[in-house]
Amino acid sequence: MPAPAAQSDEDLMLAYAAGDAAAFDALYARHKGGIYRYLLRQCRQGGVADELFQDVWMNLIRARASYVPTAKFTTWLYRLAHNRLIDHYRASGHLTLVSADDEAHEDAVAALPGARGDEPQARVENRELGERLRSAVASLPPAQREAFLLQQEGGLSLAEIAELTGVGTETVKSRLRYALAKLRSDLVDLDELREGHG
Amino acid sequence: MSEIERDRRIDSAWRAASREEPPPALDAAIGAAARRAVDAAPGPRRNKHWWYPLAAAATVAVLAVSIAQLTPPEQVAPTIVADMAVAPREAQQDVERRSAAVEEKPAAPPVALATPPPAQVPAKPAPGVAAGTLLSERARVAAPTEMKKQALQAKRESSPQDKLASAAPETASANTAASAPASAPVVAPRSEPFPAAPAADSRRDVYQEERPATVNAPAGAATAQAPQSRIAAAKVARTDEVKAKDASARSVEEWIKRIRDLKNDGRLDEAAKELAAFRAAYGERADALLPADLRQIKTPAK
Repeated sequence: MPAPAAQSDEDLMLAYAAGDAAAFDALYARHKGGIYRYLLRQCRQGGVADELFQDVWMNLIRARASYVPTAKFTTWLYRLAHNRLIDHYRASGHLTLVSADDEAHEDAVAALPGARGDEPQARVENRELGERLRSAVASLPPAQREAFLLQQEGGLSLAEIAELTGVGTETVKSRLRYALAKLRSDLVDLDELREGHG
Repeated sequence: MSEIERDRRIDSAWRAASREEPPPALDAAIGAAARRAVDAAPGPRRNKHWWYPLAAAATVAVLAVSIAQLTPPEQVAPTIVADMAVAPREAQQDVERRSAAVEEKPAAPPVALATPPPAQVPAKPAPGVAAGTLLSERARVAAPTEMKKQALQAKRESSPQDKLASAAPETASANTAASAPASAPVVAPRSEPFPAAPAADSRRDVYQEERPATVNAPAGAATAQAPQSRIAAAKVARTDEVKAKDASARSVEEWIKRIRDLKNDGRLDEAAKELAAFRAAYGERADALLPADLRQIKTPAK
């Protein structure tokens, strides 16, 4: 039997379903960071993210016997997280996913917060790129942010994101395009500041 | 499907910026829950139907026992039938041994014979007879087909006189297990071969004496041979029962007369057969009942 590190996610999940606790440890080590950050960036509250994160993994433990590797394990895992997040939104009354998928919503996207270029002090202080980026992502519309996080944290493809979120691939592509454009625009000021210092 | 072109700068910046991890306490809690779930499970890939083969085996065993109980013995075990085929030879050998033992024994003191004349045989059998009949019934259950064959064969071989005697009530049985001791014959004087009045106890004694003789197998021999085969014993018992009918119905005088006639006619083989049958029927009392001239006929070799 190969070492857990060399096994695929699907094999590890099957092994855990068969009673191998070490397989779960390997799976958890691989995906805990991505899932946690996905939830954290979406709900933006550490305590809530912890709760949702635990719920996601508990759901995985409960569903281990019925797991069938018909799709990529990562897609299945992030679907669990996505569904749990939707439940959280519904329970808290904050299910306000803004659709910014086409040109008709360009105005709404432009009105979203996060235009850090308006803050001259941020440019001057040359704050870390990471912080600017996290802020920029946090300012993205939820649908774009989710697509971006699924791509960055989960490593999912367009098709996988489309399947998980229940939309078409073109819609996902559009969301990602808008998200990247927004992030680039947020980071332009920082680049200009660096070039000016250089 | 074409993937959207990714911005390497944003990707690297995001990897550098997004490094949050769940709290260690959360890791421990989730890991413990995962192990608990696995430990609480009955077992990985455990067959839920493990009891199916066991149930099937038990069913087959029950069916086998039921069929074995419902099937006649001769169809169950051919070896038993083979034992039954051997039984007559064993019984004949026992008769010969028994006859030899009787000849060597000293004659019992003449006492009033308890044997009743055949005409006065009571219709209702004595208690001993009843017990013997019960045992013979058991034997009949054990090997009914073979016993019927033996009975038919015995009837075919019997003389017309025997056929007449067979009409008398059944008084003999095949109580092979509880045979009377060989040293208890009550023999009448030669001049008075028949008892004046039959008594129940003496009748039982007669029955117990007759039983081994009529089956061509002495009681002691039958007891000794019993462990060999139950079926063989049952066969002997059945044969006893059939022949006992003839023997009990035939008077000693008629029997002696027939033996003498056969001897006088030069039919020594038949006379010897009749003599052997007489000895078998009356056991140790046979010599006391027989005239001296008829004791010397040798039993034909088989």
